[in-house]
Amino acid sequence: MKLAPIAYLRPRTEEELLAALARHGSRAAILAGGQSLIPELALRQRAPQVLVDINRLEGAGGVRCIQGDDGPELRIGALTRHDDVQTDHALRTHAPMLALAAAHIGNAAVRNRGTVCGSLAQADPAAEFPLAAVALNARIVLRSARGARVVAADDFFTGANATVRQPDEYVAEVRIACAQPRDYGFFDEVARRPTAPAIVGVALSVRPRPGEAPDVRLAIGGVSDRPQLLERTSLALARDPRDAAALRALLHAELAPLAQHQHPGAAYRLHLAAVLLERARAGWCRHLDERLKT
Amino acid sequence: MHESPRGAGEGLGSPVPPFRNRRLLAGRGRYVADLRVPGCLHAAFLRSPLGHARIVRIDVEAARNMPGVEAVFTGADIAAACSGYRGATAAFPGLRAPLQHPMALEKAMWNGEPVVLVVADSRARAEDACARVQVEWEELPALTDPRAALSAPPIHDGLPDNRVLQLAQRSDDVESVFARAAHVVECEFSFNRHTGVPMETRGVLAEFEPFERRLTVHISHQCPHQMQEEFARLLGLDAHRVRVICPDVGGAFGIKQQLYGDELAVCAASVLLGRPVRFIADRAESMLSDIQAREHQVKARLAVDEAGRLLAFDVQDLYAIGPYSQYPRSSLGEPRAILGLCGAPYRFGAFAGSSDIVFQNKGMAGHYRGVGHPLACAVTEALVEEAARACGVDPLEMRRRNFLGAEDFPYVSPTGTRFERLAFPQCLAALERAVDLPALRAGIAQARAEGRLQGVGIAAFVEQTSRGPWFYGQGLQAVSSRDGCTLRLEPSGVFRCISSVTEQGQGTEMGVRQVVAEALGVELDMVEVMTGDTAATFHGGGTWGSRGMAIGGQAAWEAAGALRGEILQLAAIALKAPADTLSIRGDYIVDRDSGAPRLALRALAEAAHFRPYEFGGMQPQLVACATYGPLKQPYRCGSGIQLSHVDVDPDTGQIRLLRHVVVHEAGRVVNPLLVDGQIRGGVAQGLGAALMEECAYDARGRALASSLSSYTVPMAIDLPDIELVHAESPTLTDDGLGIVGVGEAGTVGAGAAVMNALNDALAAAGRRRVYCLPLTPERVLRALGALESSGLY
Amino acid sequence: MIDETMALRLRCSVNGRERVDDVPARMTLADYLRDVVGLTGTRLGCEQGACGACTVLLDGKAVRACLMLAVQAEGMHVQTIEGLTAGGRLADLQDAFHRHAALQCGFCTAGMLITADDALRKDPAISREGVKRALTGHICRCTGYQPIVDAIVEVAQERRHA
Repeated sequence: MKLAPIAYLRPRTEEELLAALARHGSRAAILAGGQSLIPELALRQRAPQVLVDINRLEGAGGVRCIQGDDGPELRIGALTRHDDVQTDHALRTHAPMLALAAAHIGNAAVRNRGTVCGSLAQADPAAEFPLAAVALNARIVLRSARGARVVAADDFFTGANATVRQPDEYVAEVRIACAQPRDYGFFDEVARRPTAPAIVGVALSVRPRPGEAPDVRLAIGGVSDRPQLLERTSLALARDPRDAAALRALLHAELAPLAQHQHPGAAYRLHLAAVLLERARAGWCRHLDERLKT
Repeated sequence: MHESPRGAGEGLGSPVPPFRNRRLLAGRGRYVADLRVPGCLHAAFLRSPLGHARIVRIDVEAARNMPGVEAVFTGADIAAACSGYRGATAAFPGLRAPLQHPMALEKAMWNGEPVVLVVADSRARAEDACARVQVEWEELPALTDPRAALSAPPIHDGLPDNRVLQLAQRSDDVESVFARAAHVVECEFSFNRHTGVPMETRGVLAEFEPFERRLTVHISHQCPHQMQEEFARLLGLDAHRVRVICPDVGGAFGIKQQLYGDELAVCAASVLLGRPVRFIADRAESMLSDIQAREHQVKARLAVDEAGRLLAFDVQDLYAIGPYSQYPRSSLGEPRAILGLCGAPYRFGAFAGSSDIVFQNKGMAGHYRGVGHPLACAVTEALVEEAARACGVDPLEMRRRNFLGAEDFPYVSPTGTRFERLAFPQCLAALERAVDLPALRAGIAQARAEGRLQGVGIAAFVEQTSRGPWFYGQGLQAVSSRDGCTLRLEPSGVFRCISSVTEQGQGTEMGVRQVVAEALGVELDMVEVMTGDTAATFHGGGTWGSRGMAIGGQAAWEAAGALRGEILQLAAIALKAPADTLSIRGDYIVDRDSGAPRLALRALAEAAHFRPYEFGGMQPQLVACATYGPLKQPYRCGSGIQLSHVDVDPDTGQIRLLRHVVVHEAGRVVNPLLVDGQIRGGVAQGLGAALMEECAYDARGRALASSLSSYTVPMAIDLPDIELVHAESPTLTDDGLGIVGVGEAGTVGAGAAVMNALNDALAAAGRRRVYCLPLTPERVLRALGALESSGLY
Repeated sequence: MIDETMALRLRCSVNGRERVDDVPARMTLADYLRDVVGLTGTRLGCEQGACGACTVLLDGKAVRACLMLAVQAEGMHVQTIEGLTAGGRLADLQDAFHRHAALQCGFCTAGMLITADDALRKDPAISREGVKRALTGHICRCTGYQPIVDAIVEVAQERRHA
């Protein structure tokens, strides 16, 4: 299981990176964490001719909290590792649901290398960060020599391991609105064992709005070919989080047509989605009850 | 058996950690992949991507011209240097054993069969060249459903159908027993194909020296002598000029026991090239080409009387092997065990059993830890628990009423298997002492009252170990059931022991060391043990069927006893005292009664080696040899009972293992630390097979489990602590130290116990059982009716 | 066009020794350590990052050497089982593994030790369940894991009291 011969570039600046991507396009693969890419190369499932290693990119790490156009937002750079998500103070404070998601990811070695942006680019249908990104309405910054564009997570994922990223672009940053004190976030998954890849996952983000129903985003991963925001179920959850049966029926109606045929089967995955919905719903209701007391 | 001298401190029965572990802990293990030979070439294979296909054309020109490539061999090239082979056995002349070649010739018969061999200056370049080989395939329908095998077109040209063999036996009165019985329970089982997954993949380093026609093979394997004979025969070499050496081996479990075409082809390549060639299977090709095991469909019935006494078993087995019978041991091991050991722990009157063995376009099937014993246990114990439910008898009481007791032995089962001894009453007593069963049951009842799904399952099991020569002898198969030991006294007063049993981590070397030290009366670190080199060791059986200590240990014991005798004779001359007043203790010849040191062993050894004239005309031999193989009994049986307590999550279907207990007895124990290690490791594999492991194939015969991501094995977090309870052993009447093998015990009963625990939980909830392995969460949810109610698929 | 077969110069430190080697871009860190540096204690169990047998420390962090290219270690400090043994860092774990027979064939052992040490450093108060969780991603086929967990839990206690 040895890799095929490959050329290797290690750009230091973003300018160098974008020039390399512009030049090589789909002949190139971007090496960030490598935890998904290297196994594919070892199995010769993919045959890029050029490996562009971004691990020494200046200024690509880190998490910044800045004042964006729509309020304070967290900007997570291309070299932010999975492990950083759990340890970084800014992340835990301003995007707590991301930290919840990160707790499910892999073992120490995977977390030391794997990156948030890389996970988004990889777009595994059941992966934790893509799912959390959809629920959090994250925005993904793609940069190329042609310029930059910001894509909403909802629009970023187009299928199993497929995104809108063009061959000359890289995922430079993901932006998440900073959590407000009254926001609620829930993340859970069913996996073979703790930290194993998710079979099905749920991410729920609730943002109360004064005088209105809260902004609820409920997303399920691992059933469809991409993390799936369930708009109707989310609206119903906002209106009446206590009606478990109705919510379950709505989830089925919304999700079943999108279920992929894979192993293990769709009926099992839909069942798990319903189980996870119930956990999220119950979590939200408990949170509401506690808020009522205070 | 002579008396064993005591006072050396550590010997038989001591829980001493193996000495070799220090080196392994420091990263200094030397496995085949770590060996470096100047000028070594590296092999990679192009393997069939399909389950069944005609090879229309192979074009290797582009591959031959790739950088670093030394040679490219097709199946025909290798066949010119290497005979084919058949996994036949004279014991079953009706067994269909089509001729198999190390690499495919006209047809590829399974996904993973080697088709082209590339030899290059590095593995990476060999793989690059493999990618340039062009093969034109004509895909053929793949036979992947065992139930369709007997009616499907034969996959072997020249055979009338896909039957390998049919076994059948029947007691005269069995049908009338079933007709009259108060209760008859019936289960249909589907057992999953799975494999051993040793952490070190298979590997071989073959070096052929053309002028003396010597082949030296370093190989990760359990049976070096068997392989010496096979390589010699199949490559047309003189057996005494073939040397097989096993370096450190990273786990084997039966997977490294038989002949592999790819390993043989690499040896052939070395012969053809006159150069050393190395092949290390990567994990992907291991998953495709390692021995697979235990794919059976079983329909079974049990008849019991009103009082819950077992009357008769009826087992119909359908066994799916690969496209060939495994060579050299044949693929009969599993069905013979399923039929022979059905109902083994119990007294019953009649038996009907049949096994249809069929070919498949899937991986080669052979022996994996436990062989057919785990299935015999699972079938038996599931039926017994169903019968207990049908009769309204407590499951443990059901066992108590039916277990064979001391007064029953020797016992010939209606299956034809003869048992000299089993220890189930002792095991039951030990179980009841170790586990507070009423409290356990009360806890489960409480959990159920709270709406949780919990169950407890029991599995009584027998394992046949330490096989004698009839098993393969009657098959006229060149598989040895004997082993030997050569023991030398060196001038410095230490001992060098060369033993033909082999080490793969179970502690063989340490066990032999302990036996020798005990028999001599010396400290453990005065004995150095060497294994795994056919140039040095007696032609022995190596590791298989739980026999290392029982057979290899016996040979070591006898050699040590003989050498001790000579040492005391020499000491008697040197000390001018009768030999029977002397003994050996630690570094010294001592006075037997008082223990007073008389002469340093080192001084005696130096004198005997360098000044033999001091011994009155006697020729000091300073070396003793003994070989041993069982001749009184065809096998020695170990007994045990496993208990599993599970909690089933009704939402996710996941099974949480709350508790697992193994009660076991296996005669005399050389090293309890190592025995415990074998049982725990065996349980882990048995649980993995029951819960998560599967070599699945699609309809085209393509393997779906091709990596450790798609083939799930247990990790630490999946397993409970495994409680071990050692039961009292009845004496063994065989001609030896009274040791019974233990290597497979854990695997034999674990799956049955957890399956019974799950079904206890399901039965209590009024749900149907699951007898289809692996017991995945999806299957559990279906049994709970949870997936139907989704109303969608 | 880029020459695919060009070797790259790698400068790194392995177990405290500076190294300068020319390696193909495609060579993994694991193969570099085994075949170029000659340290075979880092083992290949799957070459897919699933089994943990190839775990090493890179700038002090546990990584899977089969999932990194050798050239990615440029300017970095690699520590393998050999170096960590020589430096004594794993001595208490190795001792405990020995006493508990927490290994049989030894193939997975180096990776287990390195991850165990890493886990204990990150969380000295780690529980038994935490140890099992930390070992997710390591496969042992021989021991059933229990003696491995026992050994690590014992060392965790020892280190806390030291």
